[in-house]
Amino acid sequence: MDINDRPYAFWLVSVPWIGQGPVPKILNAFGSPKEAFLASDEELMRKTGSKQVSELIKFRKENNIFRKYDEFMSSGMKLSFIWDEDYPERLKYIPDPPYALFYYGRLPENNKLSVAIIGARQCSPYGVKTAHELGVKLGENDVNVISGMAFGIDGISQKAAIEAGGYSCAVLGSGADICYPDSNSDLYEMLKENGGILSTYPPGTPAVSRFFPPRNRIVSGLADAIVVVEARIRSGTLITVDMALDQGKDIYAVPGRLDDELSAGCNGLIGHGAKIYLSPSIFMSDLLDDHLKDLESGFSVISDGALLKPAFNSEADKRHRKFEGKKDKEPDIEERLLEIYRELTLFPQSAEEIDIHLRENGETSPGETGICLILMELCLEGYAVQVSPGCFCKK
Amino acid sequence: MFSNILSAAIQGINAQIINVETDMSNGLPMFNIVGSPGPEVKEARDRIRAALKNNDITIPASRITVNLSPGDLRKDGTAFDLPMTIGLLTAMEYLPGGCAGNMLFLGELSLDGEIKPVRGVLPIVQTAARNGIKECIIPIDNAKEGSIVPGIKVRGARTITEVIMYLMTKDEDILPSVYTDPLSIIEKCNDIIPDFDQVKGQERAKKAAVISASGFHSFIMTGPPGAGKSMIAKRIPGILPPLSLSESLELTAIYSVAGKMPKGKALVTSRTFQSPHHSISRNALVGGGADPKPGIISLAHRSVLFLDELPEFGRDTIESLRQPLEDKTIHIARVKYSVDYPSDFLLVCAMNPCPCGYYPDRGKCRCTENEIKHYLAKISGPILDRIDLCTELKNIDIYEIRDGKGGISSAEMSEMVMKAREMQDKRFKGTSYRFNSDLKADDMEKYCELGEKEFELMEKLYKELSLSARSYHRILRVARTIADIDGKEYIDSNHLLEAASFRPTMEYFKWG
Repeated sequence: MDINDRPYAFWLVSVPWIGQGPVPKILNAFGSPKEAFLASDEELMRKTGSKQVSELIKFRKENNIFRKYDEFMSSGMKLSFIWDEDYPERLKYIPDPPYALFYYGRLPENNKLSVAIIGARQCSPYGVKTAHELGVKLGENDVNVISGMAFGIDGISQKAAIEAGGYSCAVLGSGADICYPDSNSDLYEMLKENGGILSTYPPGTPAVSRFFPPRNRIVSGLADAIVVVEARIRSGTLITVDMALDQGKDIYAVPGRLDDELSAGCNGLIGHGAKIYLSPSIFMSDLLDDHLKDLESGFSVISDGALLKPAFNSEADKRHRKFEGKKDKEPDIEERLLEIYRELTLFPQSAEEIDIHLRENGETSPGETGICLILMELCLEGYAVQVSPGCFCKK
Repeated sequence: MFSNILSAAIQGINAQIINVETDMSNGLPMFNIVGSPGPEVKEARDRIRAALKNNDITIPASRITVNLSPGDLRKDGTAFDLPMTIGLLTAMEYLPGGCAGNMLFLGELSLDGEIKPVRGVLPIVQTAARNGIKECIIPIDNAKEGSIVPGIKVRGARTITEVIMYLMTKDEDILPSVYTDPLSIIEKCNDIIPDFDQVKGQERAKKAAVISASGFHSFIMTGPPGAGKSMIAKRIPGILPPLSLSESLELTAIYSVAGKMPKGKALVTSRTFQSPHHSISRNALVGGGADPKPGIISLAHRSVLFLDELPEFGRDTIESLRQPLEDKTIHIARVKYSVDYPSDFLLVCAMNPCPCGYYPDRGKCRCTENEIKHYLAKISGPILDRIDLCTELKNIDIYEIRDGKGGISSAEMSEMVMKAREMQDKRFKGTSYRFNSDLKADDMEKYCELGEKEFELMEKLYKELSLSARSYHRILRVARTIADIDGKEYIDSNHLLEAASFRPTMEYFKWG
């Protein structure tokens, strides 16, 4: 497309609140953005008439789109159209691909593996730890981490990836110049600098709940595999999973305890045939197995999603069978501290609960106060965290 | 004719002797009361006229002026009915002049001449005794309260006729003087306060209650609904040391001035438990009003003030506790008056950790980060800064309730408290301090001396828990009390760690 035509294309995607829905219809009817812009109001309405198109007409009457385009170009934000070189290849293959992406930083590269990490906003310490580990592993292995920069799992994994020296890209449900949520502003700046922030909504669009589901399809569309860390039975995370399945992506779910509502969604996914996430390194191997061909060919051909479950006696199957549960290395501390440390989990527990558990197992307990003192010592040594006035968990 | 009768007005929790002067002279018939009378005092003339008429005494048609001196002091309440009646009767020479010399009168009249109870009797009788007044005639319902003051004859009167008869005949049988030894009342006291052995489990919270009672440390409990927060708070008065005589007299004076003395009781004999609803207004909490009255915090003097659902209280209301928490007394100043009420209370608070109450149990709690933040932001930071102890309660499981593992009882806990109190009394002898919680930062080094090992630990705590200077001192104060409970002269590492585990901070809630 001619460079001089970009302002016309900009006009099609920069009208606030209407999204990019009418763009394909207009292009079908007129052939190019320029033709559409030069067409009369009546013709536009006759060929493609809808409420959104009337907004487009209003916008071109009230604004000088060339000036608008210049203002945008000097604002520091970038714009990538579907026919541009840097437009992510993977997005072209999803149903209803976005016509243009507004972004800061860099767009994800096409020839690198790409994983979306998604999960609950109000996550548990277990989710925090898992998301962090995975983010670090992917960051170190040069795998792109895609997510929505939301509070909780999203933000934690992206931050971990960037800090580990990797690339991460946030897909926002607001304009790319709006940091939502506010509390992730440090991550926002990190991504702007070392990663990418992209959005299909024109700058200035505030975060509105109905904009979030459409952006989820871009999160999954940019990835080769999706890892669900923690999700409730009814949650936005599972909407993303549905979209990813439509796009033929691999789904991995982090298993959780049966009585944990926050893991119910993940356990359900495993029941429905999602792959199981066991540890960062096993996940990396599984991922490489499935996408080795893609990597070798530089992703010139986008493959279909791999089989849902590893075939019997395949490499992946053997790997999974060898997995003996995750064990953290025991810290080098005194025996009396170690006894209590072994009782700690990633779920918050009170001294009383630990006391009861020790007694039930027939072990000697230093008593509630004694346990509390040891827990405080563990906190000081950096092996435990006091998550609330009475509850502790493993760090 | 002219007469002068003694009475008294309440000022704060003290009293001021008032001269009730009555003049009767020729002129247009009228009944005037002067000397800054409040509305209830002005109404007295109608009650007096009716009460005398109904006892077959007619007031002659003349010009009557009653002056309450000193005239610039505002007088409120109904206690001037009786002294004004006696003054009037003396002025009209119905009673012999001088028959009411060196006597103090108090009481409200009903229209048939009965004498009704009034408030503030104890401080008034005490003031009278200090001023060398020999006799006091007070309403019969208040007689017990007045009877504990030594060095003055206190007589309780039922009706105006009894008083007139007594003044005419001076017959002791008509109005016998009463005296009760306050010590005997306190010793006999058997007020029932629920026992801690009914609280199953919750060992940590009970320990926190002991620490709180020992060093008078203010205390906050968080936890899900139904975990037993109020249950624990209600039992704290039972483990505080029994009231001493002077404390009891002080508390009785406050109750008396507030008009909250239980009928027929001479003294407030046990520590009280004040638990205002969160809709309470600021004036009701700290005191005030058009006619000054002590607020809830003064009624909780030397006792427990329990604020349940702390975040639901109005911000202004809670902020008003700042000064009394520091000074142990509240100064209330209005255009018309300015009074001081003592308010040395033990602050105990309870709250849910989040709007639904189940945080950090993320399986049950579905509150969003913002909801929790918003909820916690309702608690005033400066008040949280003045709270020394924090503990979390968890719902105990059914087996523990059934098996009845009661844990320690109030008697055992109160023994621990007494021991710690003795240690403190010994340490603070001759200083202005009473409890470890009073310790100022400057004297910290003197009273909370740390060994080398302990100092290293404290440094580590300071860094790892990112403490502020204020919370650093708070941990030291609490550690001092824990050491006192242990009977140890010096604070050791375990005391410090335990104190640190009880530290209140909203930072717990900031992550994940």
